[in-house]
Amino acid sequence: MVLGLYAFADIAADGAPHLNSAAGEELVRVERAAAVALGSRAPEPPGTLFITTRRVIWVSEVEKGKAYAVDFLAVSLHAVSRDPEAYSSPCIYTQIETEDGSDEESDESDSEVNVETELSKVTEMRIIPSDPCQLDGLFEAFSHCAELNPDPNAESDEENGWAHRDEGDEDMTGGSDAECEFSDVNPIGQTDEHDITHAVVELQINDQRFEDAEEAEHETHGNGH
Amino acid sequence: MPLGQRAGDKSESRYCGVEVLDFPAGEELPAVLSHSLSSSFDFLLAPLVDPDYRPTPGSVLPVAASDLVLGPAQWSSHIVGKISEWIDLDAEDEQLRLDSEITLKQEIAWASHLSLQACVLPPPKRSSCANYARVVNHILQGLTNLQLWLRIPLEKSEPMDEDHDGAKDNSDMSDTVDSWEWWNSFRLLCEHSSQLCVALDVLSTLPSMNSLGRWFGEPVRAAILQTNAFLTNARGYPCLSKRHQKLLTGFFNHSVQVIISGRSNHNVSQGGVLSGDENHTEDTAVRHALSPYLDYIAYIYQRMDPLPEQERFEINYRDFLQSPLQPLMDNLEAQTYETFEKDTVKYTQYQRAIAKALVDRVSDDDVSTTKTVLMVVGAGRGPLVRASLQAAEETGRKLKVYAVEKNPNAVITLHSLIKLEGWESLVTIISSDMRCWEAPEKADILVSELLGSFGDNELSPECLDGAQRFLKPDGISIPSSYTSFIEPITASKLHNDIKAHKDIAHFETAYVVKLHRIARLAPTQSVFTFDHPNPSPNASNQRYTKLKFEIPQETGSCLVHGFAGYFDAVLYKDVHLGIEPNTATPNMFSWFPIFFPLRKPIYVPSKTPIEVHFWRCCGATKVWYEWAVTAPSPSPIHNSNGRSYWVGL
Repeated sequence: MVLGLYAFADIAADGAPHLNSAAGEELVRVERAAAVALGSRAPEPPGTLFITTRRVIWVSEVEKGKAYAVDFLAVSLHAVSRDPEAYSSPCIYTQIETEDGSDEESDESDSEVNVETELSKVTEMRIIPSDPCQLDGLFEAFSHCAELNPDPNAESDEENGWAHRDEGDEDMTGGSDAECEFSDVNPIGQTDEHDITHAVVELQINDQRFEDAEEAEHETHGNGH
Repeated sequence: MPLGQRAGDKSESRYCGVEVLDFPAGEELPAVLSHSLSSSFDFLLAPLVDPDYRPTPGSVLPVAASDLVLGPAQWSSHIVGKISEWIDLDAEDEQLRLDSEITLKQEIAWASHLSLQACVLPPPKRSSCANYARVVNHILQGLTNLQLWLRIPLEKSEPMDEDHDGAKDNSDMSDTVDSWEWWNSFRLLCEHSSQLCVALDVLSTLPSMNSLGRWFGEPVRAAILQTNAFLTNARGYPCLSKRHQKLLTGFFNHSVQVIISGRSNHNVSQGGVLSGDENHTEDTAVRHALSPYLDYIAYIYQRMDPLPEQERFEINYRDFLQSPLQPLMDNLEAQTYETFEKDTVKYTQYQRAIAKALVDRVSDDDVSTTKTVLMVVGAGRGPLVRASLQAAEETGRKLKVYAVEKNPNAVITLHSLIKLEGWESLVTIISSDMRCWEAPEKADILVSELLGSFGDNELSPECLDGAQRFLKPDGISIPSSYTSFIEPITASKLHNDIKAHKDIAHFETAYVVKLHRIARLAPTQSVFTFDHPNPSPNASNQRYTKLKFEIPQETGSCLVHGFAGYFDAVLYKDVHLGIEPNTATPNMFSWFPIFFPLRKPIYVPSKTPIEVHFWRCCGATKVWYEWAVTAPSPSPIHNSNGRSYWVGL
């Protein structure tokens, strides 16, 4: 699979992207007049959004030949955002898994070549439909297609080498059936099936923000009693 | 997103939540969730229902958001439901009580509909919470996947020792607060339901370390860290006291998830914003008010050392109950041998012990003329034979080895090994049970590894007393002695796993288990000791011990689910081998502790000793343990006559 956002060039004369029909790619939803915002950059002028069974493709209507795509396998999170405090326009918010996992965004000049290089580093993308009423439908389409693309890196149940006795009195068996049942559920807070092993809260461990405070002496005495 | 990437840690404590304090009305919930997720939080603790709602006939529940606004996957993965805090099922006011019951059931039903994994129940409002527990117990019996987390503030006031006056003692008693007691009352009333768990509210002050330790044996799922618990460092950023840091690390190591709650008390500016770039400023998302607290929590997580390799290997066995091996009655499988043979630390200790014995036995002057006769009884597939020959080579002593093994399958492997290593002239294989074999000569040294997690529970005494016939009167046995130990523990999870079998036999069985979510309540004490050679080999190996455990006063009251068992062995002189926590041999993995459960957990009030009795009983065909608590309240004698658990001779 391809990680990250990439430029898409395979566009037909009518403005629709050519799908990889041989690989079973199908069109699920089309959204006209949808803008996209990459990372913290300003939104691009409206284009057309195509959601397929494998990826999200956005084709600019203003700039001929300009289009972006991202595979669903690289979309680690999608959500509806309506809070003006979070973002000025209602939109679909997505997080994109990149190759190096870096949140670093360069401030390089806006030349064509650099823009293309930058695409693979984008980790957040917002899709802003001109009609906010379409958000729920878009979210549903996203969810449907995400389910069609389960994470191949999902943890497999490797059998541990530890000895387990199978013979002997069945009543003596330890362990619990409830254990197996519970462990099938994703932990609370984990995003869908994508366990992003390299996307974590980024910190500098020696950051001075995290220095200890001077702890009051009376507190120490109080705890000692 | 996860707080950090710690090698080997796949637990849910990597995911941090945030509490939503104001009811997200008018479909605000998706926006709040989106904002929190984009700020690196992983889930919300959010009210499900408008707190102003009171039930009236025909009214529709005013929910935060319907299942059309957020899909089931979002609800399940990113929302922990908060049940309305006004609910008070033990209120004096009858209308409030009835409204509370109706609403609690409605909210739980709604949470189940949404496929939430967990809901947080409001804390008990007074020490008496019988009606609250009754309603919750009723609900629990109908749940399948939903967990209920009872919110409990982490507090315990310390009794004043100066008051010796009787009248003041009574007054003081009523003033003493220990929130663990609230939890204990509630879960007892709810019959120790496995779906009833704890969400601890962590405040600015913490009880004593011993008191905190109790919670690690309880089903704590979340620690709700109040912003008021944070201090301010010299740079104006939030941070935690050293004691809070230590507690937090303990939570991370026990799969407890952190939820940050409260208003921001620290206004730290975002230095990185390019204020000059008007376009950039406009598009930057507003930073979450609680992000500085999350950053600090992530800092604490990322500062932790990676899990040791051995811990990573064993992590899947945490709190997993296993039946102990029966090597005397059953023939072990190749996989079992393979696993135990990888424990290089164990065989290093044996090699050291054998080397010392060889040097003591044969002086340097007699090296060239004296051959030591060594018998490995219970040779298995040969690791002790290898350790013995390596010890001989290392010390320059000459050795004649007899490898005695009763498992015919292991004997086949032994033959291959000896041919492979070219040990034909040094090693004689005896395919026989050591209890029946007649040795052609007496041995100087007898080596065995018949030890179980409790020392003698794999019937090492019976085997070695039987093998003593082979030993010269002044001969050496390795091990020369071993002792078992126990300590009382709180272990909610183990109790619930055993209870799931719904019979007495499972509560009268000892289990081998890698203990993890437990509270060790008092220091270990020794139970049984066996010496080899046995000065009185014909004496019985029956034993009886009575022990008294004093739990430190500052711990407070606790619940004892059973006893953790360990062993320590003296292989030879100062060479030890064991798993007793205070003297455990590092990096060894051949043994997990043993757990002796109690049928009914026993409540131990503060300052009250525990009295426990252990018996080791011997019959013609089996050996078994019996155990019972007699104080503070008597339990049945467990495993009477070996009816549930025994070790076959």
